[in-house]
Amino acid sequence: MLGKAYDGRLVRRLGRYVVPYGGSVATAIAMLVALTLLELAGPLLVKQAIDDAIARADLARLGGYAALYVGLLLAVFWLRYWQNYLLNAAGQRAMHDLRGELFAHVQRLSLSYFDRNPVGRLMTRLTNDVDALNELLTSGGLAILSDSIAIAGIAVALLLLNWQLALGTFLIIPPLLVVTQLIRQGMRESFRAVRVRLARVNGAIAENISGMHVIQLFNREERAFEDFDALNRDLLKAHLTGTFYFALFWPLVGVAAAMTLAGIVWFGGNQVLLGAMTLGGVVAFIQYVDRFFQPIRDLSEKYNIMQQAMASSERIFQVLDQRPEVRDPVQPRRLERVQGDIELRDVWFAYEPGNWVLKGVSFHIRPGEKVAIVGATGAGKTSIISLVSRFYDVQRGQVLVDGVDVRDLAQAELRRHVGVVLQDPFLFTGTIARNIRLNEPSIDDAAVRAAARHVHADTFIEQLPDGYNTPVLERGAGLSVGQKQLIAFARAVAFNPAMLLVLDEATSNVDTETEWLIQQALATLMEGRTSIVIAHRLSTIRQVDRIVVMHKGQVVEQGTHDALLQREGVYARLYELQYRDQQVSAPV
Amino acid sequence: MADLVRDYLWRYRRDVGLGLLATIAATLLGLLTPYLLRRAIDAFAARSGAEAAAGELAMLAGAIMVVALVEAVARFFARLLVTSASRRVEYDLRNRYVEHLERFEPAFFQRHRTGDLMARATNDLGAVRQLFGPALYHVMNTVVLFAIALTLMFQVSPALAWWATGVLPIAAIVFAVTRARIEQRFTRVQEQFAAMSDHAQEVFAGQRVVKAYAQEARELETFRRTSQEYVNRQLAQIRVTGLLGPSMSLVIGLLVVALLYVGGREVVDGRLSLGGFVQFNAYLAMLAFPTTALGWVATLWQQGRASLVRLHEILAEEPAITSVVPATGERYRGEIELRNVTLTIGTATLLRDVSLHIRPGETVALVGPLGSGKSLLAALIARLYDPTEGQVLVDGRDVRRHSLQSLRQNIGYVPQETFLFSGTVSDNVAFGIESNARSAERIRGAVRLSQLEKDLDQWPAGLETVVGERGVTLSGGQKQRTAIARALAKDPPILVLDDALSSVDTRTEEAILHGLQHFVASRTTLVIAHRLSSTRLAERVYVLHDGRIVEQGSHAALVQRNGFYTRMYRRQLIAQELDVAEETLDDEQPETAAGPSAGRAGMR
Ligand SMILES: Nc1ncnc2c1ncn2[C@@H]1O[C@H](COP(=O)(O)OP(=O)(O)OP(=O)(O)O)[C@@H](O)[C@H]1O
Ligand SMILES: Nc1ncnc2c1ncn2[C@@H]1O[C@H](COP(=O)(O)OP(=O)(O)OP(=O)(O)O)[C@@H](O)[C@H]1O
Ligand SMILES: [Mg+2]
Repeated sequence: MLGKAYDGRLVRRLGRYVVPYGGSVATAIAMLVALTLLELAGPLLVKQAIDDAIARADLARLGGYAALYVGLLLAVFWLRYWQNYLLNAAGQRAMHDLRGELFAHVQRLSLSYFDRNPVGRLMTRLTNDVDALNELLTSGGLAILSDSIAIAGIAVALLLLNWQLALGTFLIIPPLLVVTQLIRQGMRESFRAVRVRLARVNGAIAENISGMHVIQLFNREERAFEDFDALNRDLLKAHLTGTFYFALFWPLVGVAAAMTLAGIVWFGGNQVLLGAMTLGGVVAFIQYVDRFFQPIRDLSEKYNIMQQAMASSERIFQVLDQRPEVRDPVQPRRLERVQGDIELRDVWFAYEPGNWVLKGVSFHIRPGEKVAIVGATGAGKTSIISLVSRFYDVQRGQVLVDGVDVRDLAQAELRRHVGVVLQDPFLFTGTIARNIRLNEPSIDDAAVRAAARHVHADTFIEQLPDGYNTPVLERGAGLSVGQKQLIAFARAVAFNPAMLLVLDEATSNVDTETEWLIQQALATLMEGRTSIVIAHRLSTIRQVDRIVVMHKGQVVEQGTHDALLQREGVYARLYELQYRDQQVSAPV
Repeated sequence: MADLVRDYLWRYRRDVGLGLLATIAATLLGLLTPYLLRRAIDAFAARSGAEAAAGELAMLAGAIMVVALVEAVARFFARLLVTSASRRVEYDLRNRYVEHLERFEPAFFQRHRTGDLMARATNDLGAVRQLFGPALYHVMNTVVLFAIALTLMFQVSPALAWWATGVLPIAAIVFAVTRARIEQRFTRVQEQFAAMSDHAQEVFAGQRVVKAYAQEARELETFRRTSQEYVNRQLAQIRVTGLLGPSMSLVIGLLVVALLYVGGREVVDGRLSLGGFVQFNAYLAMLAFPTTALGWVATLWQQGRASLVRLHEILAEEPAITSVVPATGERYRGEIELRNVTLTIGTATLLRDVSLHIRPGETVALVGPLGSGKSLLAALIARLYDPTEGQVLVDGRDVRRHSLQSLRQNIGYVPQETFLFSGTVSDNVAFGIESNARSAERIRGAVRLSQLEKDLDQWPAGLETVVGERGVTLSGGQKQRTAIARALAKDPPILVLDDALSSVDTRTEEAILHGLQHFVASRTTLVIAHRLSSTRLAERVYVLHDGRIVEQGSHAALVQRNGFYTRMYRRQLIAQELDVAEETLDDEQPETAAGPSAGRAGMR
C-alpha cells in the first residue's frame, strides 16, 4: 500500500531525530493502545447495558452502566489529549534539533555554495520542509503504524472466520495495488513538480521584494507581475494535477470495498443457502471486511502527508549530505605568535572550472608590510582577498600564511587573524553597536566607541537620536551608503585582528573629507600590521610600501610607487590618467 | 464566513456549489449500502426457496456495486471541485499579494522585513488554503451528515432526537470559548516563524560577513533560541487546539450515555421498541466521526482565519505614493526643479528647504559629505519619496501630478547600491526596455557605453552569463557597470547617477566619462559624486551639507569661493602631490600644505 512513498532509508534516518524523545513517543504509543481498547469497550458496554439492564428493565443497573460509561469517556478524553500532546512535543523538539543541525550545516558550507543557491531556496529547506516532516510524525507516522496493525489484525480474524472466503476477499488486493501504483506514480510526479515550482514562486517573491525599488524605477511592475503570474500559474497546474490523483484515491478504495462486499454477499450468501456457513458468520464477516477497508482508506488520506514528507526529507538530506568544498583539516595546525607573512605561490584559481580568474599569481608580503593591489575592474583583486581568508580553495599553487598553507589551518583560526572589510558593506538588523561588535561579547561598549572614533564614524552616530543604540533596518536601510561603509570599517577595527588587515574598496563611497581623516587613522592602524589595500583611487593608497598591479588575473608589475612610475608601465599610465583629471578640471 | 464567500469563493461558486451537491449525493448513497446489506441478510435468513434467494442475492450484489460506483464518482467530484477551488483561491490570493506589494514605495519595505513579508506569502497563505480546501470540504461533509442523521433520528424518536441536537450548542460553545485563544496563540506562532525566517534569511544573505568574522557559532546560538521559542509557542498552541478533538468526542460520548439512560427508560416504559433503540444508536454512531473531526476542522478554520487577518494587514495598507493621472508616453524635456523641499522621515529632518533648478539638457553635479542627503534628494526626483514640504517639479509640473509610469519612463537611474536580478547580463541590461523595443543593437550600445564590453570575453557565455542572486558572481565594478548600462539602455531624457562610478577603476571611469560626454550633452543629468573626476561632466555644482544646499555655481566659481568645494578640490590635488613627493602627511592642516598649482608642479 505504501510502496515507495515509504522510503526505508529516509525513514530510518529521520527516526534518528526522534530517538532522543523515544520515551515520550513510547508513552504516546502505549496510550494509543489503551485508547483503542477503551474505545472498543464502548459498544460492548452499550450491548451489556441493553442485554443486562434495559431488557430486564433494571433502572438501577442502567444507572450503573451509565456511570461506568462516563468514567470511560473521561479516561478516553484524558488519554487522547495527552497522547496528542506528547507526540506533538516530541515532534516539535525533534524538528528543533533538525533545524539546528541544518542551520549549522548550511553555515559550514563554503561561499561557492551560496553563490549557486539563492537564499530563498535555503530558507524553504529550513522552514517549510522541516515542517512537512513534523506533519509526518504528528499526524502521519503513528496513524500509519496503528492502521497497519489494524489491517493485519483484521486479516487474521477473517482467515479464522472462513479461510476460503478470506482468501477470496484478498483477491481484491493485487488489482488494488496495481491501480494505486499507477495513481501513486502520477502523484509522485506532481509532488515533485509542485516542490520545484513552489521554490521558484517563493524565490521570485523574495527577489521581487528585495529589488522592488529597481522594478519601480524601471517601470517593470507589470512585466514582473506577468512573469510571476506565469510561475504561479505553473504551480497551480501542478497542484491541480496532484488534486486529480488525490481526489481519485479514496473513491477508488471505496469501490474496491464495495466489490468485495458484493462478492461476499453473493458467494457467502450462497454458502449460507448451501448450509456451509451460519448467518451470524456471514454478518460478522461482512462487518470485519468493512473494517478492513477503513484503515486502507485512511492510509490513502495519509498518503499525501507521506509523499510530502518524503520529498521534503530528501531535499533536507541533500543539503545535509552536501560536503563543504572548503573544509577544515582533520588536525589543523595552529598559528603560534602570528607574524603576518602572506605568500601566494603560483596560484591558479577559477570559480567555474576552466574559466581561470587568477593565472599563476605569486607575491610575498612580509610581516608588517603594507601592500596595495591595483588593477582594472574584474582583474581578480577581490578574488585574491577571498583566497587569503580562504573563502574558496585554490585549484593550483598555494596560499601561505606565516609559511603555513591556509588549507592546514582551521578556518575560524585563520579568519580570527585576518580582518576583512568587504566591498559591499553588509549590515544586520539590530543596533549600530551590534553591527560593530556583531555577537562578540569580548568587544565592550568602550571598544565599540573607540572603533567608531577611529574611522570617524562617531560624528554621525552621535548625532542620531539613540546614538549607538539606533536601530538598523534590514541591510542597513535608513543609513546612507557612506555611513554603512564606515560602520563596516569600524567593525573590522573593533575586531582588532592580530596582524592582517584586508581592505577592499573600503572608502569608495566616502567623501574626500572623511576619506582624508580615515587615511590618517589607517596609517596608525596599519602600523606594524601586514595589510592589503585595494583601491581604485590611487590617492587612497599613499601609505603603502609596495604596489601590486594586476591585469586579467596576472600580476604585471610590482614595486614601490616611485619604482613603478620609473618603469612607465601600466601603473604610470594609470597614475597619469588620474592626475590629468585634476588638471583638466583645475581652474586657471 | 460571509466575507470569505464574497471575497474569495464567489468566483468559484459553480465549482463549490457542484461540490456541495456531489457531497450530498455521495453521503446519501453512502447510507444506501448498509440498507442493501440488511436486505441481503434478511434474504439469507428467510431461506425461502434457494432459487429465489440466489437470484435476489445476485441482484443485491449488483446493486451494491452500482451504488458504490455512483458514490465513488460523486465523492471524486466533490473532492476534486472543492480542492481545486481552494488551489485557485490560493493562486488568486498569491497574485493579489504580489501585485499589491508592487505598488509600495521603499518606505513600506523598510517598515516590513523581507522575511516577514515572505512568511505571509508562504505559511499564512498555506493556512488560508487549508481553510478553503480541507476545512471547507469537511465542514460541508459534516453539515450534510448531521442533517441526514438528525432527520433519521427524528423519524425514530423525536424525544431522543431532541437530546441529540444538544450536541450543536455544546459544540458551538466549545468553539466560541477556544476560538480567541487559538487565534491569538496561532498568531504568536506565525509571528515567531517570521522572526525565525528573518534571522535565518539575514544570516544566509550575510554569510560572507559571518564567515569573515567567524561568527557561525554565535549565529547558531541565536537561531537555536528563536527556534526554541517557536517550539514553545507551537506547544502553547497545541495545548489549546489539542482540546478540541477530545472534547468533541467527549460530547458525543456523553450523548450516547444520555441516550442509553433516557432511551433505556423509554424502552423500559414501553414507549420505544428495543429495535428502534438499537437503530437510533446506530444513527448516533454515524455522527461520532464527523463530530470528532470537527475539532480538527475548527482548528484549521481558526488558523486560516488568523492567517487571513495577517494577509489582510498587508492587503489593507495603501501605498503613500500613487499616480492620480494616467500614463501618457510623452518624452519629457527634462527640466527638474526643487522648490523649498523639506523631507522628514520619522523624527529626523533629512532635507531642509532645498531649492535647485536644472534646465533641460543641463548637467549638474551634487556633492557633499556622507549622509548629507544626496541620495534622498535624487530619490525625490524619481518619486521614491514624497517631500514633507515644498514641491518637486519635472517639466514644470509637480511630480505628484505626473503618472508614476511616465515619470519613471523618462528617468534613467543608477542607484548607489547595485541590485541585479538573477537572470543573464543581457536581461539585466534590457530591464527597462519595453519588450517590443528590445534589440541586440540597443543592448550592445549600452554595454559599449558603460565599458562593460571589455569584460565580456572573461565570461564564458558573454552577455548570456547568469549573474547569480543580486549579481554575486560579478566583480564589484562589473555589477556597477551593468547597472549603468541598464539605465543608459532606456535612452532616457533624464539621467541620475548616484555615485555610479565608485567601484570602477580610474581608467574605466575615464573611458565611461568620455563616452558619456556625448550622451549627456542632450540630456538632463544629475551626477552625485565624491570625486572631482565625475563632477567634471557638470556645468554646475550644488553642494549639500546636512540636508541644506550650502554652495552652488560653476566648478571654477566654487573653487574660488573657499568653501566646502574648495577644500574638497584641494584635498584631491594634495593627495596627488603628496603621492609624488612621498611626503609624510601633515594631518593638522592638510589644506594649507600645498595649493593646486603645487600639485600640478609636483606632477611634472
Ligand atoms: N562568485 C563568483 N563566481 C563566479 N565568478 C566570479 C565570482 N566572483 C567573481 N567572479 C569573476 O571573477 C572575475 C574577477 O572578479 P574579482 O571580483 O576578483 O575582480 P576585482 O578585480 O575585484 O574587480 P572590481 O575592481 O570590479 O571589484 C570577474 O570576471 C568576475 O566575473
Ligand atoms: N529611509 C530612511 N529613513 C531614515 N533615515 C534615512 C533614510 N535614508 C537615509 N536616511 C538618513 O538620511 C541622511 C541622508 O542620507 P543619504 O543616503 O541621502 O546620504 P548621502 O548624502 O547620499 O550619503 P552618501 O554619500 O553616504 O551616500 C543620512 O543621515 C541617513 O542616515
Ligand atoms: Mg548616497
